[in-house]
Amino acid sequence: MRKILVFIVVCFTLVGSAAAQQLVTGLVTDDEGAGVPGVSIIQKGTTNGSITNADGFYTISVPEDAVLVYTFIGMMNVEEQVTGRSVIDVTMVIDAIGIDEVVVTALGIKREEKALGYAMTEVSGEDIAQANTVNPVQALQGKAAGLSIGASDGGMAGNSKIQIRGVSVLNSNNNQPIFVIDGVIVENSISNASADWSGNANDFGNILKNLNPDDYESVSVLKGAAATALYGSRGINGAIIIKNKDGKGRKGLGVKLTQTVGFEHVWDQPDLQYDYGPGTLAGYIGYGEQDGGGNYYRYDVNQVYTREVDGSQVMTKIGNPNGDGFLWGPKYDGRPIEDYDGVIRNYEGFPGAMMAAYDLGVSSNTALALNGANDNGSFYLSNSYNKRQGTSPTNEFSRYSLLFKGSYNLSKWLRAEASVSYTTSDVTNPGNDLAASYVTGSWAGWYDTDRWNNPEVYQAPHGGRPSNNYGDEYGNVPGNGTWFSYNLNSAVRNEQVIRPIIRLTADVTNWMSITAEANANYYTQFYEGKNLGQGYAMEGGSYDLRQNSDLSRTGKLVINLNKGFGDFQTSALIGGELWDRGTAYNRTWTDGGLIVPGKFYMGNSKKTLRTSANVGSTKQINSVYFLGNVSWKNQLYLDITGRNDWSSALVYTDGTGNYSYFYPSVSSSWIFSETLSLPAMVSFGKLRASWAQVGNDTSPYSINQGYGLGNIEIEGGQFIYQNTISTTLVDPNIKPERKNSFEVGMDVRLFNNRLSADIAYYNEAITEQISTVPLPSASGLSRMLTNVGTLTNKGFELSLGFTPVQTLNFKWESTFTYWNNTTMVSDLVDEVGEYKGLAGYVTYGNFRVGSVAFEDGEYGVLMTDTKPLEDDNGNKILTWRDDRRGAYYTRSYEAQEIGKINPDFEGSLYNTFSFKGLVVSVLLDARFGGHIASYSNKYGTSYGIMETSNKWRDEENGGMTWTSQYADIAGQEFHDGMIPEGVFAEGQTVTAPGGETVDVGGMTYQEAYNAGHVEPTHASLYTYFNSSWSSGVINDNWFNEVKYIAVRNISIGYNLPKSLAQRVKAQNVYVSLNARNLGYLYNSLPNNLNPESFRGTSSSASYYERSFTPYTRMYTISLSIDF
Amino acid sequence: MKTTYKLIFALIFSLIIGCDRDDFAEINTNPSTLAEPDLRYSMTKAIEQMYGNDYTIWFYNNFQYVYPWVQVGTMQGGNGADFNLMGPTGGQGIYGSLLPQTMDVRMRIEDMPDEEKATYRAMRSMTFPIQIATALTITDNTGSLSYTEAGQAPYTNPPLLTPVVDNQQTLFNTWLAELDDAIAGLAAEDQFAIGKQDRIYNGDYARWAKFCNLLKLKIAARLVNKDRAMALQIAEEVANSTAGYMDDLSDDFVYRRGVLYHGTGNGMWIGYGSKNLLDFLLANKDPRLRFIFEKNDFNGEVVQAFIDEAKALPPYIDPLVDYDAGGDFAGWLGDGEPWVRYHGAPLSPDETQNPANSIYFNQSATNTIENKTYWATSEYSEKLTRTRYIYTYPTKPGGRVLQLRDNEPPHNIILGSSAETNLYLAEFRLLGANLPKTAQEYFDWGVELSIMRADKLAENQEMPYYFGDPVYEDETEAEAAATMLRDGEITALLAQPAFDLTVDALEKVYIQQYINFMNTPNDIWTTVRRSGCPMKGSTYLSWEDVTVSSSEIPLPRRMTVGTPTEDDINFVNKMAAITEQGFTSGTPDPAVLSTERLWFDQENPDYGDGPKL
Repeated sequence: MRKILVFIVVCFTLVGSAAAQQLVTGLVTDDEGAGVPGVSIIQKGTTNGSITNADGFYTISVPEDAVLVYTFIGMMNVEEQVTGRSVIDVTMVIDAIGIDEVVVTALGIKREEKALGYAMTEVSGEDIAQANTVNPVQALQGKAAGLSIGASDGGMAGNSKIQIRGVSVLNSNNNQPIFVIDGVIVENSISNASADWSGNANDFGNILKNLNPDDYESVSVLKGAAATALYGSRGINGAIIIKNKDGKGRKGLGVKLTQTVGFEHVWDQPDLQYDYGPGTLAGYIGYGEQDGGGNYYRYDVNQVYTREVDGSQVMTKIGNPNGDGFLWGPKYDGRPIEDYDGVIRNYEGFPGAMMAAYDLGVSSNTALALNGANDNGSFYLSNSYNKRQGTSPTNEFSRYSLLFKGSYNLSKWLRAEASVSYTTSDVTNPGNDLAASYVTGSWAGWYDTDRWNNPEVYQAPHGGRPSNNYGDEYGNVPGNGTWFSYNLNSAVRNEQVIRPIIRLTADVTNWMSITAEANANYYTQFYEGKNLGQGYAMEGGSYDLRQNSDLSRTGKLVINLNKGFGDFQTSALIGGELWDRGTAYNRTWTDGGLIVPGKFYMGNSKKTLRTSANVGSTKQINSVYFLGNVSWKNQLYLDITGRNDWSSALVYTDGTGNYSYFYPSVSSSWIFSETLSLPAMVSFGKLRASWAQVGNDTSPYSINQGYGLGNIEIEGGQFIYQNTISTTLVDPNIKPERKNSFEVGMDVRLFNNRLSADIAYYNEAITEQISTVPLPSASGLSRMLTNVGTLTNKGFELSLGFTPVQTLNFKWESTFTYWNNTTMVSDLVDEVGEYKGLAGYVTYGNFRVGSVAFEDGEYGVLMTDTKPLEDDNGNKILTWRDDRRGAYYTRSYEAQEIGKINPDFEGSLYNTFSFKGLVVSVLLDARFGGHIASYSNKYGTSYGIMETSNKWRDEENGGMTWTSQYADIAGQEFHDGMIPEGVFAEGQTVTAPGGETVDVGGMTYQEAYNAGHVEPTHASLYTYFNSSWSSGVINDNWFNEVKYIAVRNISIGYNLPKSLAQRVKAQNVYVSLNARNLGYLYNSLPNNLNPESFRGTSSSASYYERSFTPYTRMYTISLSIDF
Repeated sequence: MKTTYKLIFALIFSLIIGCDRDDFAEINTNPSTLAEPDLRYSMTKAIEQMYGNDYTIWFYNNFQYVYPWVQVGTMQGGNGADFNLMGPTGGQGIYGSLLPQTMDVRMRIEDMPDEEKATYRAMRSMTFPIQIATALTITDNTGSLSYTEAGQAPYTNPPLLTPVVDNQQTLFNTWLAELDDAIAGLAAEDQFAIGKQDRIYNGDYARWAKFCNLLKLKIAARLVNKDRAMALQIAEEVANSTAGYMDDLSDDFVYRRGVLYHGTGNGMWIGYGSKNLLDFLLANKDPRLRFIFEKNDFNGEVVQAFIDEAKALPPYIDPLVDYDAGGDFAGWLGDGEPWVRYHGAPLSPDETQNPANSIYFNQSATNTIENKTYWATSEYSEKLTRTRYIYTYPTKPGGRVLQLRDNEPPHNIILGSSAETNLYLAEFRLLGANLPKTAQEYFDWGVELSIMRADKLAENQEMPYYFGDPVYEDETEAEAAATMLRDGEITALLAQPAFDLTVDALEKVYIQQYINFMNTPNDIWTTVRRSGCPMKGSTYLSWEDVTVSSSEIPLPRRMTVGTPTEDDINFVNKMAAITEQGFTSGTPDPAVLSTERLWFDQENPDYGDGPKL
């Protein structure tokens, strides 16, 4: 080892000797006098360098006037001017990176991280901006232990589910944290289109898409109640604190210009089969050739649908009864077939058709920021424009945002700060039902997207959608309406967010300051819907305008106190806050179509315009709070907070109500590495513990039910009226919810931070859940609103840091996170039956899978009444179809548990490799556990469309070959046989191939087959009925545990050398390449179904898949220049 | 420092002001709700809920199940082998909005001072027929339901949250008693006027009493094979009721929800009309054929287009065409327009598998010229279920585009009629009830009313072709092809043998009840179940055997009864009702649904077996 070092030193010496050099030697020690090996010594501004040997000695040859920079990870850098010295000994002190780090906590208070008695994670703003996602939630994926992000099928501007430490509120399916931007709370609403009933999620996203990541300085993830206690009820699900940049701390004027270009492309799709074309089930075939007796070959899936063209029968797509996606027919073999437009083409599948439906998405983001400061104040002004074209046709997003922040010292003791942010965004056509059209819609595997996705095909010469009724050329082409809608209709939602903040801070004495603040968040949505009529000559169009506004205002007064007493340092904060909110809505739309087609204005309505409008959601919360903290010798910290809220949402119409609630919190941390004398390998150690309570109210108006009123227009322009009674029973004594949270954690860093671990364990109970209990509707009440029970979240979070390699120029850092959470439900009131339904239907619908909560059970247990029926020995009982000569499973029609919503655990692995100015990072994240019920896999399998439906269809896929002995089809040979695993029900009789009736009750199918009582079941019959609407059972083809490891992000960043930067008069030039959502190292779902395609972002229903989301990658190139 | 204290003081002050409970109460009260209802308005809502679920009743219950099973027609595209297998169902609900409304009205009247209460007797009485008429449609499908203890929770302490589930016998007895009370109450004098808030009878309480009598008859009809004596007794009560019974078109219960109500916006999946049925209606030249079924696409212009293309006409149309010397279309033979435009299809699944029937089941292959398919068969008219859609008249390929559009009449639905009343009375008279008129008298008047009502309904719904067939450019031809009721048609119809009650009287009455119920959402299934008509081998209208692989397949006699789940605190009562009825819950298996019958259906004849005398 030593020899190598000497060799290196010699080499450097030789290189260095070219100039007027001198040799410098020395010893680098730490603050305890021990030599530090591996310290890099660089001649500033050059690549000339050296490192210390095992004892801490070094040698370097440098010019006499050189400056040496000594760096070692975990220690503060040291600079030494050589000025002729030949021996330079240096003492380096530990720089506990991250330990003295200042982070942004609740109410925007900056604290030293080591002082915190609870877990939190701060992410840099650059990291978020780099991900180039519209919704900042997506960019947080994998960034912090305990932060569970679930992508939804909402598309480019749609929502993503974000959940921190489980579910806190039973009544709401929105259990997402609040977002706090520079102290202003914005709520992260969910998207919640029904997977059962809506093919299209039409997700315009929520307010978060209006945030501009370019402005982020830091993003703090506050997880537990102790961290968020000061936010009161609204922070009950955690808080994401975003601090925008400002001009503070900078001298003079700075300019930063960033240009980003992104490309998004659909690179893969779940596995559809392109081997077999349309046709019905074996046993049902009523077309094609006839046998000698004039009967169709009922069981022969190779039969083709034909019609007469020019006097002869030809295979045709026109009028094919299975053409819209019942793919149990013959293999594609290229034989001639009449296409939808009457032209004879080949009978073939189009494997590229689904991906051909998508475009290349292109995005551009231009951001310009100016900042500056002097002794009197500072300012920050940013401007950015983001424009994106989605992968779906005509899907667009644009956002323009402006932020101005300024502060000015009015006098020595008085400081004024103000900021205003203005954003306007447009989301155009967010429809997401395109992919589903290829699996459960109108387009079968033989649909050629390139041919039919053309304006002359989907729009007839008269302007409407082609129809045979009007003799249009392309009237037979299926699904024209989809392209018509995507291309000729427009649904645009324009949003504007204005967020002014003013703050006045007075330093009353040197230990006390007072801050008065007022802020508001004004959020408006303007929706414009234009539908071109699809009828003859564009008959039936419509025009729709909607406007929503949402204004929330906050006024606060905060007193800050700071004082030290000997070894104690204390500070306190006392504050009061008034917050209120109100919304308004109005909508006007045309009725009966448009007089002049294609002209979109209200006066063009055929009938009297329809309108609807209201004001509502009014709510006010008044609060007082305090925060006190004491620290002792920088090693013991104690925080105490308390807050009292008075919420209007808990006041009954008569003025009564438990509307005032107080909740305290205590948290402490102990830097035991300061107190105890630990081995040198321990660089830092901290224990933390906290207990906190948070109170919570409920949604406005919910405790005050009244009669509804409506009118009905009758003949002669007259009206009659209706009163509607509410069927919700409201408990007259509702109490506020209480979250009691306990958390312990430890942060240990070893070997000068090359190894670190942060663990947290929490246990929180949210009692007095204000929620509705469904009541038997026959009672006359539909539900009761009361305090129904308790939710408990328990979980463990681990974050491991590791620096495996660290050399002069190369460094590899690795962070692994793991977390789990279990939400339990307990103490339910008697009115809840055996369990409480949360979402979906256990005994109805497409899925027949509902999420429920049992007393003392987990939140989000999945139940169904379609598990296969079993006998006492656990054998699956078969349903025999004598008329179809086959069997499939039998539904139990008994509600049974089959899974759960929430994952067992999640995790991420983040690796960063730095080489000089180049940084490469790779982020993987993973989810294990929780289930998905897939509409696409269910019906796609049932209808013969997914790859899973190919099982047993032919010999290649495991199908049995046999020759039938049944008299009517004797001698016909089949290759699609299978033997269902299961037994016949007691007393089951079958008509055997010989024609005799045999009782096969209790026999397995295999036994009955061996005995000659039955022939193999045709694959199509078995597969279809096992997943169909009326008889389908839960099976592995469509109900699965979700497990995946995603390659979330790979980025390459490079800081140009200063010399190069200076050539363009820039201080810094940074280029980066980012690739997002690259794929999955592991995906447990059948048919390669996208494991992150859940419908909606609610906490209770995110186990459904509906949209058949393809896989989309995004590449972003970014150039950033600081002047 | 003083500033500090001032600020703290201001803060505390503002919080005290800001926390005023009355202000908070106002903030937390939805401005769009009312504290007190107007009982008239509450009643309007209750009436609206008598037909609150238009889509599922038609889309699922009628077109997927009931109409194919009772042989009005097929499922869309023809009956497949599984057409007896149920999927999702719909239907009216009484618990969601109807019962809470009627109970609220009733309880608020209970709470009135006696003097005022007396003036609200009629309004209180209205709540019973509203509930019963709707509940009857539910028990017809699934049997037992909560009624006697239902809707009580808001008025009981502790709230009665687990109402018992009543069996049909209890329901019928309860309803009969309630209807008698209501009839008395509706006759009370000096009553508070509900006026036009009553969309059905415009505040005419006497007509509500007649409707109560119809409900009694409906119950009696369900008892004919269960407790015939009771059924006949009810019939006699009704015929002699001082309140009278529905006996005039103006008495009909026509459900109208306002001029902007067009029924559901969603389209229906409708199958072909039954060949047997259409042939029977055609044989009698029954005008109701034209009010219930839609004309096919084969008008003169289309026939000529087929001739021009040298494309063969469907074999059941070709014989009706009068060709001129040049082989062109010269007019219609037989009964001419509009009768030549109605053709049914066979119903049995085996028929759809028969290659010879591609003329019905594969018309896109047989009847397409120049990519345009013409349907030779007739479907049940969608206009009877919803009124807001565009109808495109069939024209030759490349021809004119003629549409019936911008015709969005208010939707009407018949929930009870004088025709029905008279046809019941005819039935009961034949079964032996001592009634003032002869069966033939009730029957003739019932049929006449039925036709007039169907005609009015077709006119109101603006059915295509009602006033003319615009495809015929010749005005006389267009007028001749109109489907409206013509003078003398009813008289001619009643003269047909199928309307002569001297022979096969009961079957003939049941056939007319069956036809009468075809354009209403309820009652047809019950009529078929209790009458066994249409009858196998009938000389008039016969039941078609439905076979798969030549074996007859079972058809359900009731709908699936869902298995209660244990999240429901009324689980025990619901399970008890299922056990009491002897039902297997959950399953849509036709073998189960055809054998485990409802209480009222237990003694009824099998499908097609004809009436029990």
